[in-house]
Amino acid sequence: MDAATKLYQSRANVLGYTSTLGTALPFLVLLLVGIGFPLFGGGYWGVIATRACVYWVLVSGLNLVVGFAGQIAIGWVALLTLGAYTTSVFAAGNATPAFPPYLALTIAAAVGAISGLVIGLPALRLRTFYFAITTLGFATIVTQVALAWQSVTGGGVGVPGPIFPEPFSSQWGFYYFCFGLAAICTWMTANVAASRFGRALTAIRDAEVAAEANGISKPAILVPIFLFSGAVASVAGGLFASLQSYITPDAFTLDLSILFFIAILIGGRGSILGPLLGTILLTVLPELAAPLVAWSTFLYAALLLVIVLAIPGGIAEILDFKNRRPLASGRAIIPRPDLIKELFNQPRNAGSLTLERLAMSFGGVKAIDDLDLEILPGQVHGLIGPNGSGKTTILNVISGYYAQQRGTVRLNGTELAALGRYQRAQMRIARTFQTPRIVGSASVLENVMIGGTIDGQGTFVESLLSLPRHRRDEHILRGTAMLSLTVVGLDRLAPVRADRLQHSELRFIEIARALMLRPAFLLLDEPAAGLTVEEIERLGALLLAIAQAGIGVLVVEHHPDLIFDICHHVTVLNLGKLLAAGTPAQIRSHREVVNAYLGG
Amino acid sequence: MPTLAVESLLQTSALSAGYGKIRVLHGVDLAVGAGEIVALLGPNGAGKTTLLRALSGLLPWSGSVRFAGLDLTGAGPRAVVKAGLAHVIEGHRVFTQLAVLDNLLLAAYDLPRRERAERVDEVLELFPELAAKRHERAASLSGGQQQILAVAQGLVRRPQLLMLDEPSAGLSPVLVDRVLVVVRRLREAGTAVLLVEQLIEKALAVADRVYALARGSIVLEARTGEADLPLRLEHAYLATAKDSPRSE
Repeated sequence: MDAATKLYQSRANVLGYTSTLGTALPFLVLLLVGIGFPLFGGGYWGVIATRACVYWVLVSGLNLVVGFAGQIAIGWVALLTLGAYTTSVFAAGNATPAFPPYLALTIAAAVGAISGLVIGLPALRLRTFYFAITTLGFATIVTQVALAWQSVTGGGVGVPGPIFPEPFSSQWGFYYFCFGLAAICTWMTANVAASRFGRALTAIRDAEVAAEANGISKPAILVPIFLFSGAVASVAGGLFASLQSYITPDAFTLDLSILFFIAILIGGRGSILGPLLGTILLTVLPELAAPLVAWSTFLYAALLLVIVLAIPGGIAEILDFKNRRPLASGRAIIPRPDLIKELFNQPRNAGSLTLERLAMSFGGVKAIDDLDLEILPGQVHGLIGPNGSGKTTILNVISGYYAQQRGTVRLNGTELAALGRYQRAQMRIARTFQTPRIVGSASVLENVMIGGTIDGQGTFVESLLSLPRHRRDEHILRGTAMLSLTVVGLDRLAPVRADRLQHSELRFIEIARALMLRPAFLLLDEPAAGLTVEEIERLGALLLAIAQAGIGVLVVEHHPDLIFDICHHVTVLNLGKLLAAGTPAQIRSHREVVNAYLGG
Repeated sequence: MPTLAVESLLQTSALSAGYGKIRVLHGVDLAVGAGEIVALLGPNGAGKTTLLRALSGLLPWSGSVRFAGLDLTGAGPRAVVKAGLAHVIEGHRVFTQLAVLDNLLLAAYDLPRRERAERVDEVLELFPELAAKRHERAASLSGGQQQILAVAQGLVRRPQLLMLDEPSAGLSPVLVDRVLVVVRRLREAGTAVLLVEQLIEKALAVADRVYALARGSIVLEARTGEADLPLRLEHAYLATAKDSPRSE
């Protein structure tokens, strides 16, 4: 590692460090309040506090599914039910010899993990409300089984909850047990949120197509999340059963499931602190409304409505002071093409990317018709043509979004499988999009770090527990992302929420994110659209420098000046067919190109 | 204030707007005459899009805006459209799940049925590539064709003033020229156009007058015929990008 890379890493660490301190503070306050709670809370409030901790153990895991990955899992009470019965039944010895409660709780965690996966799996195929309905279905099934399987669950009569031995048998003892688990869950989910896994989840939520282009496989990332979320939800179930001391199927209402979901909703998406405060709020709110007896449910609902209306962005948004500071207006994007070499310090030997006799049609309309194309490393290849001539379609075939009907795409001689979206990143083929696809609620730096997801070494468990390999991954990713941002000229905006930036800046963020892959080939879809003349010039210089570092660059563009200034080779398409190919000088004077495309 | 427009269709004075506490526009005075094409130029981040959004009632603003004899204070997007001001937003945002034809019908949803059909036919005549795909879902159009559809949606209502936000983005050079031909034809039919554009030369070729916006204020107003305009525009741009001398 040379001196310059080190410099960027240390700069990135300064940014990371100050923000860590700021975000950790509220958690420390909550930790102290939680530890000291028995000093000022009476017996009744002790039960409420314990319940809040139990709920949070479940919600913390569910938060990764709902708040981060954006999967609408409404029926998560199914896992609470399952965990409660598994722990109680094993501890009571209804079907087996009686197990110690800790072992019963561990078994519940394992059962919960597998069930979490089963309940979550439909998310890989079903979207939004369809997935939500399947989770509700599971919630109903679990309750019905608990009712019907009388010999084990006691049916409608129920089963006693487990009693944890000394020192956790007293009220405050049990409180500290639950509080400890809640604290551990907070720590673990915060670790995940700040890892490449957490960023990948938000990418799937807000920009699924871009996530896949960056090598993020939805199944591979969602499976560990469902396992974890199911396990902690079941543990919460075991604790819930112990807190209730006796459980029947009536205890697990859909209201409870909706409470968990709303806690995340009013907490804010993509936050840990928000849903944590949301859970505390929703646990306490019914107690505040309780004195009104008959009207308590009404008051609870009214308060909830007020909260949702008053803070549409969730609690997390209110607490986001950093992003309320105005940004400098009249910011200029000043790329540093000279720093590209530091990003590509290892020589690449990529060969070329070729399309052979490619054909593809949509419902009888030929989008690409028998096209040959060769993109060489170290060159900028321009792809131009009238609107609808098939330029973006070609990009989509190369990056695996469309399967061609005929022909092959080869990288260095090997044929690329059709529809291998997230595998293209592994082959170091990176791309940008016609409309920038970014995670608006994440910082600019985090958005760029998404591009390096596949280069992390640590596993999900290592990130969960913040083990050394996870921390090293983060350190390296942050350093590379900072360098990438400096290359495109946006380093000063690293800590800013990405949705506060203007359109031209988003285009450069996408390039920085693509550079994180250290690609062999970079495909750009209209990178200059919406840029000023000056910005286009800088973009041109940047793309040339990228090509000079040995990368094959394919640019789909409409600005003739940019194409003719920087391209080594230009291909012109018309109606999916090759109209002309050659050097910029040849194309500029090609009569048919002038007629069909450039205009007189 | 004195302005070069003969008779103002749109007149803003001391218009300020922004997002929450963050002010973007600081007292903009701008006028568009009836049947006039006015180009609004400026670097990215200058506030061009914010200005259009404020005018069409999508953002709260302070100051005064008069349009076609009406005071637009407190007018929401619906009232603004009804008054005859149409806004084509940037980034080819059309209804991708609807057919091309339905997109156009939707853009004129409150016109009488017969008139609506006529207007849609007129617009389809202007853009044969849309006519050929009128029954296909907008999602099947390429990005550039979606942009054309967005422009066409703005035309359907035959507004008194059409505001176009970077209509050229994503269009091939020939298609950009065609859109500009349509813009010119609109003027002949009496429609005024406020054009935000990054292709400065093409914008100047079609416009009657030009404003340059920088850091939320108008820094230049001129007729496009004036000889020293390119130089003055360059100064207007440069004055705002003092911190960018490193470009090559």
